Amino acid sequence: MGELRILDNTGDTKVIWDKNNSDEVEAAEEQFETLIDKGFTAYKVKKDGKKGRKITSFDQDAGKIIMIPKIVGG
Amino acid sequence: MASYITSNYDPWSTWVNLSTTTSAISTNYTWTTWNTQTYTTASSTSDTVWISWSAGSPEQEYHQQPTQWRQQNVVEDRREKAELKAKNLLLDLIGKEQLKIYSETGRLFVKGKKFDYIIPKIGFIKRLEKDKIVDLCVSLGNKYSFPETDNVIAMKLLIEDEEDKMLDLANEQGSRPRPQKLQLAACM
Repeated sequence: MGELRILDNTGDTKVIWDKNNSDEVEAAEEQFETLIDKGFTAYKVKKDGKKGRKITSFDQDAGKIIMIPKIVGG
Repeated sequence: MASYITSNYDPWSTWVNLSTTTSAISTNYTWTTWNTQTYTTASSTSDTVWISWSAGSPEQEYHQQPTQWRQQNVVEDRREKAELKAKNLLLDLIGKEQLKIYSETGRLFVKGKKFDYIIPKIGFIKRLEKDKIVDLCVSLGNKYSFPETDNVIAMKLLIEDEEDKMLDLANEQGSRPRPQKLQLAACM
């Protein structure tokens, strides 16, 4: 199972997929691309956390992807 | 039982201890008397009686608060739930032990390739240099709509993988000498 964690005003919204289920993978990928188009940045993190790595295309084998909205300087 | 309904007995008059006749007693007058003569008949309304009767009940007071006050409570409740959710996500990234320290201190220590940083829940990111601490202003856009820990998560991921981008975005807000001992913070 993979999961997208999209940061938002509720904390985050979770989208999960089973890589053996093509419909779920497709839906997650579509969500991923929509958010990237909106300016989100995606970081692939291991299930145990540690260090994240930026990705620009959907990885269905990723354990967890955290989607971060746009970051700005103050 | 029959005596109570005879025409010679007026329960209302007896109850309010008045000498007035039945025809002079109105429902309003009875309410006023019951209300310990605080109001005259003319000024006593259903509302004032109700407010007087329900005063002191927390539940009633809550329902009598202005809508704005109640809405504020709802917003605070939502923010607390969102913060809890954000901390659960941070738990996946730093583990139970460090999350405990983070919850106590509100600070997360992160190592970048160039510098070390302290990300506080509230306030500027601290860039730790050899002899000084630099305050950096960089955050999620519209950060006040997110729980504070979401901002910490975003900054952690950005610093660890894209430190240069973070430094480009951040505005320096000042610096001060680095103390010998730093404040406690959660770290990986």
